[in-house]
Amino acid sequence: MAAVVSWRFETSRVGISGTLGRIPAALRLVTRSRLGAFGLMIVVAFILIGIFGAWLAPHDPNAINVRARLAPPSWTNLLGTDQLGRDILSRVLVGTRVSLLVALSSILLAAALGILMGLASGYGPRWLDRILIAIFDTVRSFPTLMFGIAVIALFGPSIWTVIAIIVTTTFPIYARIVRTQTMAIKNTEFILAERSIGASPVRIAFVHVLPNIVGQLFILASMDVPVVIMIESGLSFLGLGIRPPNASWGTILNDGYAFVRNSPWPVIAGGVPLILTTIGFTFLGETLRDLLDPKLRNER
Amino acid sequence: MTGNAFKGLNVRGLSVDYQTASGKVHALRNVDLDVPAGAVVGIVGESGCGKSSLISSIIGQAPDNAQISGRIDFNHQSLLELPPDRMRDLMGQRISVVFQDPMTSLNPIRSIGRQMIDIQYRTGRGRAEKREYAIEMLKKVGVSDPADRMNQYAFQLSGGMRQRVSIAMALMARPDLLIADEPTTALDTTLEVQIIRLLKELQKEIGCSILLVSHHLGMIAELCDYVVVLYAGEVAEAGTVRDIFHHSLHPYTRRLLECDPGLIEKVTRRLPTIAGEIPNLLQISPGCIFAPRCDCAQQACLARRPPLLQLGPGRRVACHRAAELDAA
Repeated sequence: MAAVVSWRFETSRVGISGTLGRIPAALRLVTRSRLGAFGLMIVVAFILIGIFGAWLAPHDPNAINVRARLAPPSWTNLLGTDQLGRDILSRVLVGTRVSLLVALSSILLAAALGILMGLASGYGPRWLDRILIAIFDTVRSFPTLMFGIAVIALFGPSIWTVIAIIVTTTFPIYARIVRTQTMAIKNTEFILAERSIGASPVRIAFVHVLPNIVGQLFILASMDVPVVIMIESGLSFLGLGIRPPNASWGTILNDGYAFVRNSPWPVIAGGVPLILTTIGFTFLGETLRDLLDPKLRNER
Repeated sequence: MTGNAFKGLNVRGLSVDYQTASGKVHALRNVDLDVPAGAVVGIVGESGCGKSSLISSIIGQAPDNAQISGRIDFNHQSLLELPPDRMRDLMGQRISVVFQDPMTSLNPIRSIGRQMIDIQYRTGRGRAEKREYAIEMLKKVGVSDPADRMNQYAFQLSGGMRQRVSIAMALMARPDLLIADEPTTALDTTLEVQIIRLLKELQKEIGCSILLVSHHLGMIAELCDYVVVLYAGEVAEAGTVRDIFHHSLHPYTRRLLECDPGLIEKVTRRLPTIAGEIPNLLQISPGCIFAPRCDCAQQACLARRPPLLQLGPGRRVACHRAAELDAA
């Protein structure tokens, strides 16, 4: 009986946390679900590695040891060495910071921009919608790599240029989804009721429309993590993103591809963290979506 | 109660035109309507006769391409000229609406309780007080286990329950005027009867006026004091519910009543219909708008538009031949 009462109490609390401003409260509830707890654990672990990776690394990630090229794992090099004899474990640990920084900041920025523009486009006046749609489609039609090369030629290579490129090329995807969902919700009668009692468009968009559609975005954003890391590695491969000898998961993977016939370890060492982060973010995103949607919340 | 000071809703010469790609659609033309304090007024008409245009004009939510002329007076204040902040004071306080579709009239991701508490933001009550009042209202509209329902979400309630919640929310502020836009269309017949009874009881208790839009004649007969028959954006006939159902003058009203399956006594395989189509509202013919479908139409009907004759207080009809037909 006590359990039933406490569960009911919790559901009402989740109900209150059903808006964006209460995400931290929802985050605490994430740990209630096994999937969410697992996802959160992985994500937090990688963020810690991102922050403290440089101190955790057993070797200098850029120290070349030509004698021990492409060595398999051993007690000195737990994940083996790459084609220049650098310790892969150290490079993965140090590279985490760059990869996560690029992935998280560009996805957050792209999603935020996408939400703003998508809401404006879906809820705002029609002329604004037309202009924004034209912008989305124009930006989407840029070939990512060509656009990236052009931008880097203008502004010079740096992590921030890479983030800017990724944000520009991916925000229209979020914006498009937000726009469609907004349009579907804007014609429902509870929104009409809000309008008729004089709620402002901004309030309606952020308080009533956004919480109804934000769940799907969590999933989408989580699944974009590997995509973004691969764009970063693609640009780095062309010498446009992270410049050698600095490490990122993308550069480790790219270097690994070239020597995959000689040693599988660089690819494995670069790929596993990528897979793990994706899984972590997807689980976390899925749990967050379930928490924000009362229908899914009660099914579990 | 403020209801005593309420002097009614008066619509005069209301016309609504929609600018569309294919031309101007004259959705409402010269509509007069009175909702006296404490009365229940029904608007009845076919789909597309302008019922929704009328409602959205009253609540100030007409689409952007609508051009509205005429007057809508609420308590002798012109709603069409009211500044937005004054309109805000009226809507949800003095005027509230029950919408047609209970499936979409509640926010799906907020609990019923939260929505019912939120909507009382103007009352200045404390949170616990608001909650208590919400539960009391839920009880009043016949929702079972009201305290538990407060924690539930719209998807956990049936259509009838949701409509009850909508009605509870609309009546929470004890409005002077409740606009019910086809409140039972999305519900089945048993629920319909229950909702009608509920509205009737609550109307008596709160003493508000109700403007009920419906194409369900039985519901109008059951609930209303006055009826306005709309046809293709014009008032065909208006009067007390007794006038309209027992002494209708306009041929359209008569045909409409003949077509109501609930009023047919003989069992037939074919239900009666009114032949013809509703007129194109892009181009309005100069004659009577119903003439092309009317059995009694004469030359005059096609040539000249009949004026809305005032036959008595609140009794109006727009037909050249009303007097003859009445005598016949």
